[in-house]
Amino acid sequence: MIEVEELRKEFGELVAVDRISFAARAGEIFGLLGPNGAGKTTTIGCICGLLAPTSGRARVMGHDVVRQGAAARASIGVVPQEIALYEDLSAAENLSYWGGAQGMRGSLLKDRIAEVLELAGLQDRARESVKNYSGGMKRRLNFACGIVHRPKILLLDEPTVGVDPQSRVRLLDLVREQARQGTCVLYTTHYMEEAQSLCDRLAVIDHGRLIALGTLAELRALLGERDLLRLTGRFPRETALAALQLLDGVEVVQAEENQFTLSLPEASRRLPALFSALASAGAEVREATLTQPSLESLFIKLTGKELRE
Amino acid sequence: MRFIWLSALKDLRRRRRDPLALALWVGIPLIIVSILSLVFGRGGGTPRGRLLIADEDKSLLSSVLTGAFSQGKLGEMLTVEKVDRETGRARLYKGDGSALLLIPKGFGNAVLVNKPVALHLLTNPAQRILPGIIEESLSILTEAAFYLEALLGDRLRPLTQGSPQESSIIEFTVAVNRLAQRLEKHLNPPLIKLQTTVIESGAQTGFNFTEAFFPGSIFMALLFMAQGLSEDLWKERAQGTLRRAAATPSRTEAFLAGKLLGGAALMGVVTLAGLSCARWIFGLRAANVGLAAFWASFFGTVFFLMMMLVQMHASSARAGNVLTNLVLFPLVMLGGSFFPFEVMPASLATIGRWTPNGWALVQFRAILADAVDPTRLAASLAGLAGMGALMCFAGALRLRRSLVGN
Repeated sequence: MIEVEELRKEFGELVAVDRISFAARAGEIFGLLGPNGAGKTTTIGCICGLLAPTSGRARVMGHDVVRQGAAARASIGVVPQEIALYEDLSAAENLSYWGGAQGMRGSLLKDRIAEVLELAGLQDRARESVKNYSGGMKRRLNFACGIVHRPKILLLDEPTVGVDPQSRVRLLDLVREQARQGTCVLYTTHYMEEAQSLCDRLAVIDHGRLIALGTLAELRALLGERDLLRLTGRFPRETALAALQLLDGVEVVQAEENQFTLSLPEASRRLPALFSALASAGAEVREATLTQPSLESLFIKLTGKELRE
Repeated sequence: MRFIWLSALKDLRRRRRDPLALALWVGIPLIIVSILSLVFGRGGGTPRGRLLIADEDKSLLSSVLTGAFSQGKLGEMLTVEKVDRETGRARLYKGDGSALLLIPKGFGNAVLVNKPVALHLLTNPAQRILPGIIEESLSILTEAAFYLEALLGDRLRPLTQGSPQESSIIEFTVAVNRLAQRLEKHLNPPLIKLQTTVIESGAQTGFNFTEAFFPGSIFMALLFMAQGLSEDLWKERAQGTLRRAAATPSRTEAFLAGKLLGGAALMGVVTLAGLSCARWIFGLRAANVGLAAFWASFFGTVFFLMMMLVQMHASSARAGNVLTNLVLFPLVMLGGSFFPFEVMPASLATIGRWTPNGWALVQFRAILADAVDPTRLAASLAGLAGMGALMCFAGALRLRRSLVGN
């Protein structure tokens, strides 16, 4: 349903998206995971036709988003990162406008508005001006406006940013519901937990490049059964690296003067030997953080930095 | 097409919920016209000038001539003040007066004995209309005096020598009356009639401040509205609705056209309401109100589009505001909206009539005065529509490429 091939987008000197390729299927929640500025929003912008790709192409339901833009956009629902609503209109009026913009009309639109208002839990305040809504309510309405026309493709750009936990749970349930109904959902986030709990498949991107792609299980397998150990302190780089190379199965992910990140199997059992080796190399360990295999540790392993950095 | 209607309806709903902005756009011109109407008087009517007369003859004929300027239509327009020659000159040089009439000693006798005599009229160069009227009237009066002497000189002469008897005055009056009856068919309707014509409005007589200012104030409201409405592009952009609209299958042109349609409807309502108020409160004489409202709102919509184009070329909302103000205020000041063309210096008024809003205002006033040329109006409408279509196309391109970030 979504096919992205060698997609590249440049803004002057800056390469925001660098030859990304992936495909997402009907009924699937496909996650685009990456830190802020990784190129997630630009990728979504190219897919929904807001941005013209510099090279490569994107197709939606078989329609090229550049050459057959209107046809492609007709099957897309977008939930942008910002709350894109008319605050001086009511929820019903917003839904009516965005549904109309997608070509819906008459009783079909009216019935669908009632349906999505109920889905978003806003039916009791449907006639009220949106400016009186809480942040969570606005987020839910923002989502509702993206699905009012029953899109086959749903592009969600970090829809839970700044949302209270209760509204977040409700929003994630709404996303799952859309996928259950056969919608292909492309979900961007920089929240690991969300990606882990929600997405069927994931593409990890950083600096505009795709660095990993697969199901959660496939991505975890990339790490093997290795833990991630982050050490903070003072490390004479060369001697510390030499000492660690003598230890079996220890992979150095990141080596800086005040921080070392290591990947190794059964790290908890091997901590005494590790500390001893580092102490003999003149290092001083002040803090150690052990992380079980996860998307977070995968991201650190792949990029050498945390997702939230 | 449906998306155009939807967008227009959406914008009208939003405007309805923000009545303060609309009140400001319309209220400022309304306040200005109300204050100026109070200052200049509601009716405005006939302008008044001051005619200074230095009567050095002090004869019956010079008194008749002096009195003639205080009678009838001339009396409504002129305040006559008797002065001596030097005072009159001094006051005229200070600009205190429209003209100075010097009646030399011996004027009455010279007329009666049919000798050449000269009257001197000095006019104020700072005024054009009233000195012109005085000059023209004086020329008529001197001709009248000449014919009076030719026809009734024999009867008039005894009256000017010493103290005339009552019977002589009665006899002279009867003779004048008989002569008037004989000439009635030639005199009625009068051969010479004093008329004041306002060129632009054609059918109007006299300068009425409200009538001159009110159409301009309606245009001022429309220009303010156009600028205010154009700022909505930045609001749409900031709240993300512009990007969201661009991600729908509906065309950007339709989104823009919807904004224009909403603006046009709002401008139509404001113009109609303004003209109705002007009729009711100020007694404005106005024909073709529907056509006038259509013309004004059509022009206002094209101007709104122009303001949106300016906003689209600005780098920020603040820059957009500065740029549109730079366009707006000179046009408001020059284009007859703030100062009517009638009170502007001639050179500025000429420039003002060539500004877009000045040009449209002249047409608007002609429509209201029922003096519009339908062919010219149709051509103007077609020209405006063509320009609007071009700007709409350019605007849609710019909107997609620049504001959306493509």
